[in-house]
Amino acid sequence: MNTVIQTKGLTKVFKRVEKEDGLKGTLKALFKRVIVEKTALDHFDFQVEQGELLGLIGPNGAGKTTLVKLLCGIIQPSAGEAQVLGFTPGKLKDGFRRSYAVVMGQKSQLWWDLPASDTFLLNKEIYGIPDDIYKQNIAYFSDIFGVRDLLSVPVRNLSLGERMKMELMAALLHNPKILFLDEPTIGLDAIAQKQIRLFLKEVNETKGVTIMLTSHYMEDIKHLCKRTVVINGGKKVYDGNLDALLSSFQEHRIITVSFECECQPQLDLPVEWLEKSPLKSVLMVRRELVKPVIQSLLTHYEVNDIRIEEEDIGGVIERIYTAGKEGIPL
Amino acid sequence: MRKYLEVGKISVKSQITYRFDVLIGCFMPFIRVFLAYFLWRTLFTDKTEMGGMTFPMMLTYYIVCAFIQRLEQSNGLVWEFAGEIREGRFTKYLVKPVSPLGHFVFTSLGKTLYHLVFTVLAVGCVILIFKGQFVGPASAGSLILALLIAFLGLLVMILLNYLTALLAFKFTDITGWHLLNGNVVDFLSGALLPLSLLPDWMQGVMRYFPFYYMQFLPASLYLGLRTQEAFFGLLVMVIWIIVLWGLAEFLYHRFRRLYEEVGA
Amino acid sequence: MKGISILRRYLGIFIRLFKFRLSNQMIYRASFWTVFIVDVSMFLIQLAVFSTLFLNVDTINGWNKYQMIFFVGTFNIIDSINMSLFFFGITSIPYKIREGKLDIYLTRPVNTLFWLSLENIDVSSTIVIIPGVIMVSYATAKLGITLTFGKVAGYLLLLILMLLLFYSLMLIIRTLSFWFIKTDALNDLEGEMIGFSFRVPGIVFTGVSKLVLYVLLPYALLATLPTQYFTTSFSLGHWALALGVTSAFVLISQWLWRLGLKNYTSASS
Repeated sequence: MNTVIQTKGLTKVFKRVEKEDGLKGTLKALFKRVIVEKTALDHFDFQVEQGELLGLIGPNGAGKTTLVKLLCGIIQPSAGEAQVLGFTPGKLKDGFRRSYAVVMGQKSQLWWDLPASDTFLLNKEIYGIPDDIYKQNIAYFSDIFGVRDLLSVPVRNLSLGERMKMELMAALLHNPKILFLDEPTIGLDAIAQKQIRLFLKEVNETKGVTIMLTSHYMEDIKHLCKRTVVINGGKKVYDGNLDALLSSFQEHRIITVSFECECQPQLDLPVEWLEKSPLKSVLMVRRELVKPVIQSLLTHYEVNDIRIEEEDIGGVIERIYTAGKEGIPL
Repeated sequence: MRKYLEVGKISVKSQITYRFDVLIGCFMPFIRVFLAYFLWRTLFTDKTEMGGMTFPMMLTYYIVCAFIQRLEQSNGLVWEFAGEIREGRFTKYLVKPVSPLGHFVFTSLGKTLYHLVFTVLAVGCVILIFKGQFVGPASAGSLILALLIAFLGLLVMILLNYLTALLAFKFTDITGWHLLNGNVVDFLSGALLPLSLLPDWMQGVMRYFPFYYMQFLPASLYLGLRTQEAFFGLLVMVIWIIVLWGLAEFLYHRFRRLYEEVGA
Repeated sequence: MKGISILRRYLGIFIRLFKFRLSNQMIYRASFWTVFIVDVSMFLIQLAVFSTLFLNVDTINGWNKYQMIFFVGTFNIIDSINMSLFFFGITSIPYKIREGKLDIYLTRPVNTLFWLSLENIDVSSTIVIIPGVIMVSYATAKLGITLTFGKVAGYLLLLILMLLLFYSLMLIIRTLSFWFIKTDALNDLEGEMIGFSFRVPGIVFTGVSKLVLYVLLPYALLATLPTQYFTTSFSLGHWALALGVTSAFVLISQWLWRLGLKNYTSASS
């Protein structure tokens, strides 16, 4: 396997001016200001192999975006080093910038008033894409996305989902080796999210593009990434398989029971009742108590149907983050 | 009224965050006066008087103008305000019980107050440098009239800048309008050249416009010139303030409806 | 061969950006016309200041009316090229730094400054070059200057040098936005210097002021040197001044830009 990204002790410290309240504090700031340092990324070590589809998750302000920006060379590290495809990103060599692409959900590269095809043409010049490859890629991507008819519509008239598809197209026209994605599905509806997920999977598998993805939506990561890095407070708190992580933090199961006739179920076991209506009950129990609870329900009541589900993913993630912050090994 | 005073106070405080900007701003009177000094020194080589002014008076004219000009601080606000409109952050004025015009005026005045301290210091230094040539005010009365008219001129300028900012409702980019406003005002207010050098008929027309009273007349009054024009000037300025105020309110209410329809 | 292919790629990007701007300006015709009106008003005001001065004096430090016309015409040519090529690109840099909008530019395999500077080409501003050329030609005829190849070539070379100097001066001020949140006062200061050197030739300065405005803040050189070359005598010292100051400021601006990029924090808006 080929390592495409490698960081050693990568650190980024931001400086911020802090000001006291009130007029007195304001006047003081005129002559002397307090500079506060915030470590956004703290001795971060990791590596990515070629062809991986890696997920990066963490709460707001954890350092995900900082890491992506450092790897793209947009900002410079305060300490430590990064190697991407054998280049040092901060030097911004043309050869380096030709070999990756980045899509940031918040920052568009499309020209607002012009059709997306115009931005594609500009990118063709910028990246020096040969005619045949350009045509081939335009055809290929617009087919997968089904956006052939939208290429000549001004970007401002496109929906959010369509715009994101165009962003991804613009990023991939020059066949980059690595694609960095920062919150690509933010604000999109479920259908568009799903389409984009399928597309990323396809690009990763057929074109062999290494993809590094940050997202708030666990669904993105769950569906796409075999390997996940959890980052919190600028530090790496977990690196490995997401399912394994989730199951070790899945402490509860949700049980939904419906009854043949109206009843008031009672249990001597420690359970949390989420819903109690005459014909249906929903309860949450610790994983190891699922068996006794079901046995008890079946023996005491006329059960019509039972459904056992995993706990809501949001709660699990919250626990992972808290554990990470407290330094508990995951 | 209390809430607008609070707006002014916040404006003063936020200025302090930009100490580099304030420091550089202090150089402005120096630059203006020095550049004028070199130009007029050359022009006065074989003349003793131009437009009714001697060389020391001319220099003083530019010092007074630089002082007045430095107190006009609504210029930078135009960008901020237009940006708020363009990026949809303008909604904050729609949901809060403040009028955007009041907010604009008092933010400007807050800035003016803050810059007053530094401008007095900077202009004081300029006067010290040109001690030999600087002419004091002709009389206490003319000084007070000059200050009063200059203050009205400041209000007109704030209103004009507010109107420029409002154009952002209609045009995506108001850079051009803003530059136009700045260029024209610089010339018509007498900041570039004393208007007394212009032909009489031009001066006659200019007397009905507010620009004449922004820098040229206050500086002339200070020097004891054109005192007979002061009261007419006050009248003209008050009328212009009322007209511009009305226009600002009218346009705001018209444009606001546009904004709401777009639903930005 | 590699040089040519790079040149061709940049030319391609330039043409593409130019086309974008053209269609953008057709969409926003109102702003197209306002910029046009601004340029014309600038020109008219300059003309008004200039005629007012000559209503009251006959020469400015030895320069007669026609030399002044040549000077003003030269400035209009310089400014028109500046406004149409890079003015709007450079003046948008502070905003892009503050709002973290530089990211996209930094990740592309193109010289970031090239793209930033030429992104907002303004077609309407090219029109002001016409009165500039007319003034220069009129003054040349009135001054009875015979045109030689050397005169024209030297003048054009000086125009290019002064444009480079103008570009670097503008860039340096915008680059400071990497360190300071607000640079309004610097912009005012710049406007003041440009406005003044737009109207008054550098020859009025002597002594320390000449050192300041020719070397430290060399705004006074911009239209003065080409005019001096064309209408009066021009020594080797003048050439040294033009070349020295221009290359120094080009180097400073590039160095500051690189230093600034290291400081870029890419604020998320």
